[in-house]
Amino acid sequence: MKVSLKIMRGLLEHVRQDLKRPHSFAYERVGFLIASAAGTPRGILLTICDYQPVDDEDYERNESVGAEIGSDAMRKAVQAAYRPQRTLLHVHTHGGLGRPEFSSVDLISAEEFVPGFFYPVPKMPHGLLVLSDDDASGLYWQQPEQKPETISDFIIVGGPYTRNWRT
Amino acid sequence: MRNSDTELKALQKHWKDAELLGEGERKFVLLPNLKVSSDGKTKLVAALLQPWANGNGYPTRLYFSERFSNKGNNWNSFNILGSTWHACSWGEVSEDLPWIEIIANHLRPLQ
Amino acid sequence: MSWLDRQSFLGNDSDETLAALTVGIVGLGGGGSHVAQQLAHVGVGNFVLLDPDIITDTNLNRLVGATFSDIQAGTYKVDIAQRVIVGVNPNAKIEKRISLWQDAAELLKECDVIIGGVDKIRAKHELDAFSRRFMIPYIDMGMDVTDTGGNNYLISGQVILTGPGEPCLQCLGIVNEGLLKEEAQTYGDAGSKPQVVWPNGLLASTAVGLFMQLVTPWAGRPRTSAFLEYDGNRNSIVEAAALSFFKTRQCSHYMIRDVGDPRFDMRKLLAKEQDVQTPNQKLPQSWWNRFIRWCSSQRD
Repeated sequence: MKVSLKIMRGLLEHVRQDLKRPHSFAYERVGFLIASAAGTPRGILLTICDYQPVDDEDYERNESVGAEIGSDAMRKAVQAAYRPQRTLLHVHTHGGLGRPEFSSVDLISAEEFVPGFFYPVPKMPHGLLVLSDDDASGLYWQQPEQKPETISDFIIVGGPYTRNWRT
Repeated sequence: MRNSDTELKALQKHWKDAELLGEGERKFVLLPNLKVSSDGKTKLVAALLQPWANGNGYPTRLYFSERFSNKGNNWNSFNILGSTWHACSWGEVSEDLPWIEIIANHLRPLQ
Repeated sequence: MSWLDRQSFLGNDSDETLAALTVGIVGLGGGGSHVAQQLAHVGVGNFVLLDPDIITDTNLNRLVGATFSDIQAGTYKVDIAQRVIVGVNPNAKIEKRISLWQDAAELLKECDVIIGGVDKIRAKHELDAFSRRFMIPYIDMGMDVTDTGGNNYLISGQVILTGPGEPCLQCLGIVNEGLLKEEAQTYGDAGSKPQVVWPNGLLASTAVGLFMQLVTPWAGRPRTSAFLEYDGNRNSIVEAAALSFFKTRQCSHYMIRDVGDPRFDMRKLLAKEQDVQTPNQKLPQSWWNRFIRWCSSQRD
């Protein structure tokens, strides 16, 4: 199944700027992209329609990983995707250039929280994204009990229109 | 024009998954599972109710996810809310009627 | 050496960019046929062609690629366009349907850009709405010949580039409730509208130029919207004043959040895939099972 993700250039720039803001103790900021979905002849099209940053006060200190987001952040994200039902994509940035990779911490924690999105929002796929300054990688879950699949195409809509962005 | 919240609640007593959706400034009521009796058979289709005039020359209209062959005249294809819908030409069903009656009236040519 | 070497100024990776893009062309008549030809020449690699009609003799004055033999054969317009495209670029991939675009809209969802050469206001309106819903930039072309009296005529037209977040066809006055109602009341039969090849060519070239500015960096600042008005009597194409007015205001006709398919359900999609992969048990056994049984019979 081919999964493509589309985002407006202005929103992507806003997300990058938000994720780069320093936090008092969290090394990496995170947020949630909210998307609609549609079936296509070869798979699914995810169209990003909103961005939900995680508020400063919703980060919690964690001894092993430094910081994590608390239940309030999750609750707010789920509320934003509940009615109408939307896809939730956890997003953060590693900075730098080139195709980013998920760290083992990213993957382990995602395996815990992403399936949880399916309980309040069962009809949509959910997943996570990691950005660099000019590229992105993404994973999505079709169902909570399945292993994640790769998001194959990233498209920026705006000036210029870019498929599989490198900008 | 009738109160859309009241009308939607009345529809949801019969079709609990009825919901009001927007396409631009136009609003439609999606009925994902509508049982339609036609030609002695019952079919389950999705339907889209347009309960007020929206510039297409009809005061109200009911669109279906598929056509009903041998019933209704001048079937046309439309794209609304990203999907294909079909509607036949059928009179002037007033937007002043309760929505449930608008639906019933639009189902008459398919009987 | 490549057949696209003379357009290397379009950008370092422009050949690959264009080859990877999919353009949907709705309506392969006077405007769409020109667009198909030009996009083939610049190296677009993938096409979705939608048109329900066969060519008739009155199309021959403007349908690019059409021949007298096509009229005799009753060739479909999409087939003519396909022939023109692969004649230039045999590697182009084409998905075509002989149907109204509304009946084949699924194919347009994977397009990077949609270009409309449609006459009907309702078709333009629905294409605009569809494109926004799936965040696809849309380029609309239109041409008119108006009788101004005393055997004088005005040839006019417009090309509009729009998309999510940009002024829509309603903002720009191309679509309105009055025109939709008027069209519906005449059952959409506009009769035989006058149409000629050179304004179609001009408008199509303008549309392709806008497409190139959207997807390649050659012009510096990329364009995300345009409203270009053509005056065929003065031979001018100018930016309409309406665009700069509406660009400062948010489109009031469409919400940014109204994207995607509101009926989408992952569970149903997976159930449908499951049905396809594990069909009815009564279907003939697979070659693999037959092979296993044959192996067993050999051993016995």
